[in-house]
Amino acid sequence: MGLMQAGRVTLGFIGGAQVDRFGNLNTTYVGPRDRPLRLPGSGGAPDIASLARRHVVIMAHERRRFVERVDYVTSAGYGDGRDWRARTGLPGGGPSAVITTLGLFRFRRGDAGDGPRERAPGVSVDEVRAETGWSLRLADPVTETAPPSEGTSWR
Amino acid sequence: MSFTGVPLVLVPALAPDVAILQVQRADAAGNCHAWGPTGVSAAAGKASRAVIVVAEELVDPAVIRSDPNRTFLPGFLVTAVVHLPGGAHPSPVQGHYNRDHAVYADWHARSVTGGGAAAWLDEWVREPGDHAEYLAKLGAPDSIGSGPGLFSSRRRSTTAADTEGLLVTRDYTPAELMVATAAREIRRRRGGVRGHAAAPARLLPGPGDPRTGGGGSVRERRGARLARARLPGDHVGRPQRHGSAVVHRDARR
Repeated sequence: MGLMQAGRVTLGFIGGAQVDRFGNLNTTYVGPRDRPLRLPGSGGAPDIASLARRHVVIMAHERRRFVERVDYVTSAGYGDGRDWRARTGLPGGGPSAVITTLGLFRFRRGDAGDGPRERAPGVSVDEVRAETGWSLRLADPVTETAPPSEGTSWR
Repeated sequence: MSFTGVPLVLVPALAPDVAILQVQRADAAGNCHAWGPTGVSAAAGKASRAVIVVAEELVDPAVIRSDPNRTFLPGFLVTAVVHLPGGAHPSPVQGHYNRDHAVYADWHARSVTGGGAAAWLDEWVREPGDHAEYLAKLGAPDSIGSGPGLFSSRRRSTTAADTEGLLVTRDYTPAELMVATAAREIRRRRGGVRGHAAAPARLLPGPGDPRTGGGGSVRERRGARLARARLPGDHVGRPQRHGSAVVHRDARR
């Protein structure tokens, strides 16, 4: 925490139950506010999302997790996009990528609506689209993620 | 409220009814030692109206007094002491046992549905009559948690060969691919994990930060990042081809 506050943590890694197109993460509750399904809560994730120079969201890619807007913002990404982080005064730069079981997203003006930059080997862009709850503009070419190379596995 | 000109958020304190805290050792009066990743345990103990200390070991008060600055809670805050080795399982107690990943994986896999969660709670929480039965039921740590999960399922994925009717099974899991991708992202941002040591301590130019004279526009912050990207040995932005999944090997140095 102290290291992050001093700006000495280059990159943090966090995940959650839900992520939205602005990289906001929810680990607090899903469903309606008056009948919420409780999730484990924040842990130290908001600290990482607020204070690390950048962070990466890393999680399983399922449509119920990849939603247009999270039900609750536990760990802030780019809020509602654009300069939200600067306006709210968060020191960290926000998410640099969302790494999923199906591919990799980046943000443009705080928005991952451009679609995946990378897709996992054997995964089609249509599969990514089917598991993503926001519409994808597909503005950039989508490359295939290089697999873990030989000799680098620790299994 | 404001302090040093920076807006601060004040969160009201919680006052739990009871805190149940696992410690390495306690004396009969509740004076206890705990170490390792204790999280918010000490604060929870101090904030609660009642505290139950669960100890791996019950020790003579002289043991606690022999190392006063390791005292986690003084006995006068403690309502009851329970001697229950293994009481934190499947969570870890440093020096006694590690986190039992298999149990968590089993819970994660089966609690996907409400029925699965209820069945798991019946099996592991409600059915064992006491802690001894729970530990006996647990048996060897490998006996549970074999269900398919993110880290155990081999993803069947296809390559270009699929267009010729061949299905190629890859020898890595989705989680391993994500780890490899994450390792590349670490390189991209910093140029290798070891680059952390090479990174000069530097304050983020956050908006309104009095230490850096403020300045919170996106442009300024991007400029700061670009300035950082020009540091010698910093390979931010260099495209990675077939980046290694190994984070302890850094080819640049």
